[in-house]
Amino acid sequence: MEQSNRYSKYGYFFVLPFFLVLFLFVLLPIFFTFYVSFMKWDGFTDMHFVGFENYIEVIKGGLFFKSLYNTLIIMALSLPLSIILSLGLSFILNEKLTKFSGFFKTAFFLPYITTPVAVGLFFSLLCNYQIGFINILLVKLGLLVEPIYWLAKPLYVVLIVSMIVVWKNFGYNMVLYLAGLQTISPELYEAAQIDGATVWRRFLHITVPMLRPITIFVVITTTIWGLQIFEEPALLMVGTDSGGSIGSTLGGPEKAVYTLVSYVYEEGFVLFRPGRSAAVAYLMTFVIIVFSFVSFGLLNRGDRS
Amino acid sequence: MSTKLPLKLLAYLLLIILTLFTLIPFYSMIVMGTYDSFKLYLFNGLPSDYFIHNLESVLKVKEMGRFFLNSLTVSAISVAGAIFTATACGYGLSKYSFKGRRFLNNLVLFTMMVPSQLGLVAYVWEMNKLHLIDTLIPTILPMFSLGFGVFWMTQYIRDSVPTEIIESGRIDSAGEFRIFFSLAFPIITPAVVTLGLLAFIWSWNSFLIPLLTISDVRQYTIPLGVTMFNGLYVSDNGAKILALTIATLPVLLFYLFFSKQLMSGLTAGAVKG
Repeated sequence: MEQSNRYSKYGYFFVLPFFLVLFLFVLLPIFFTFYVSFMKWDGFTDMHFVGFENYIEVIKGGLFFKSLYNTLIIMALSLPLSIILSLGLSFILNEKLTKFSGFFKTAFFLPYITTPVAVGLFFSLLCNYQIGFINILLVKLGLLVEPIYWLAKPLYVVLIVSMIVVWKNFGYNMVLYLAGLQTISPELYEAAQIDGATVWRRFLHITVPMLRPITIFVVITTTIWGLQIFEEPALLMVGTDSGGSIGSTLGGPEKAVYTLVSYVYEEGFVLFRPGRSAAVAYLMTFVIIVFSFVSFGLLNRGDRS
Repeated sequence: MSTKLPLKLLAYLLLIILTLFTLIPFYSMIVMGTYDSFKLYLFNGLPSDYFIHNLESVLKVKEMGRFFLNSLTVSAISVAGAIFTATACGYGLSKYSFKGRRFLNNLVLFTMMVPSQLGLVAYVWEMNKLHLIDTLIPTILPMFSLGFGVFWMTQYIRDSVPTEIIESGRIDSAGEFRIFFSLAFPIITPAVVTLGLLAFIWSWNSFLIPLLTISDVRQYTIPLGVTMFNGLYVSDNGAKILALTIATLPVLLFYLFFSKQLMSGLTAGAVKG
C-alpha cells in the first residue's frame, strides 16, 4: 500500500481541494464560533469579552436542559423501535423468507431520502384538526368520537415526532444491517440448521450477536443524527393553520419539541445573540461526543461478557 | 430451505404492515393534491378532480420555475464537487504515504463526529463578510467538504484499487493525475455513483443553511419555496399538498431510478467501513 517516496508528495495535491474547503468553511467557522461563545455580540457592532457568561446564562436559563431533555425523549421513544424493526427486517429479507425483497427494500428506504421540510409540512396536514386524514380515519373507524387537536398537546406532538423519526430511519438502518449480514458466513447458519436450530434461535443466537458492531454503529450514528433533529419538528409546528414563521412556532405546545438545534437557531437568528447561540452549539457538541463515547463504551463492554 | 408456512406468513404480514406504514404518507400526499381544499375532509383514498386547479394555484407563484432551477443548480454542482473533492482526497489518503497523513485521517473522523451546526453562527457571518448572502454558494459549499465522503472513499479505494495498477501506470510513464483519472477512477465507479446519489439527495433536501443565507425570493431553493408557499396560501390546503408533492417528486423519481445502485453501493460500503 505504501508508495515510494518519489511520488508521495503528489498525495498533497489530491487531498488539497478537500482540506482547503474544510479549513476555510468548516474548521475556521468552528474555531470562530468557539471564540464568539465567550463574547457579548449582536452580530454587527463590536464584541466584548464576557468569559463564561454565555455558558452560565444558557445553563442557568433552563432552556438548554429542556431542549436536551426533549431531544433525548424523542430518541428514547424512537431508537429502540427503529433498531428492532430494522434488525428484524434485515433478517427476514436476508433469509429470503419472502419474495419481492427488492421492492420492500426500495420502499422502506424511501422516507430517508424524502425532503424533511415536506415531511414536516405534510405530517402537519395529516394531523390537522379539521382536514387531517388521521382524524377523519379514526372517526370513520369509530375509534374516536370527536377529532383530536393532535398538534396542541405536548404528549401527542412528542409521539408524532418520534414516529416520524422511526418512519424516516428504520429503512436506512435496515440497509446497514443487511450489509452486516453479508459478512456473516453462511456456514454458521448451516451448522445451526444441522443442529436443528429454529429460525428464531438462529436470529437470537447468531444474527443478533454477530451484528453487534453494526448495532454500535447504528446507535452512534442515529444518536449523532437524532441530537441534531430540527426540520421535522420545526415544520410540523409551522403547520397548516397559522401560516406562522419558523421562529414564532418553534417547539410547539409548551415547547415540547424544542430541540437543541432549535435553541441554536433561535438564539443565533431569531434573537440575534450569536454568543449565546455559539455557547449552545458547543454545549450540544459536548453532549453529542459524550453520548457517542458512552454508547460505544457500553455496547462494547457487553461484547466481552 | 425448509421454512415453515406460518413463519412465512408472519414475515409477509410484518413486511406488508411496514410497507403500508411507509407508503401511506406518500400515497395520500400524492392523491390529496388532487382535492379541492374544501373537500379534503371527504378524502377516501381515491383521486379527485381538482388537480388542474391546484396546479394553477401552485404555478401562480411565478418563481416556482426559478426554485426548481436553483435547486437543480445546487444539486448538480454539489454532486460534481462532492465527487471530485472526496474521491481525490480518498485517493490521496489511501495511496500515498506523505507526512501528516495520519493527522489528516483523524481530522476527517473528527469532522464526522462533530455536528454540522457547530460552526453555524460563524459560517453565516463568514458568508456575509464574503458577500455571498443571497447566492447559492453557501448552500453548495458544505458538499465540497463531506467528511463522510472522504472516509468512505478512503476505505473503498484502499480495498479496491490495486497498487500494481498504479505502479504499471508509472512504468508507462503516465502522470499521477492521468493515473488517477484514467486508471483508478473507472474502478471505483460504483462508489462514486453512490456518493453522487447521496450528495444529490442531501443537497436537494438542505434547508437550514439556505434558510439563513438566502432572503431574496429569486434565489430560493425548493425547500424554501415550499415553506414560503405554505405561508402564502394559508387556507388552500389542496394546493399546498400538491406543492409538497412537486417538491419531493424529483428526488423520489431520482431515487426510484437509481435505487439499485444506491442500495448495493451502501451495502458494499458499510461492509468495509
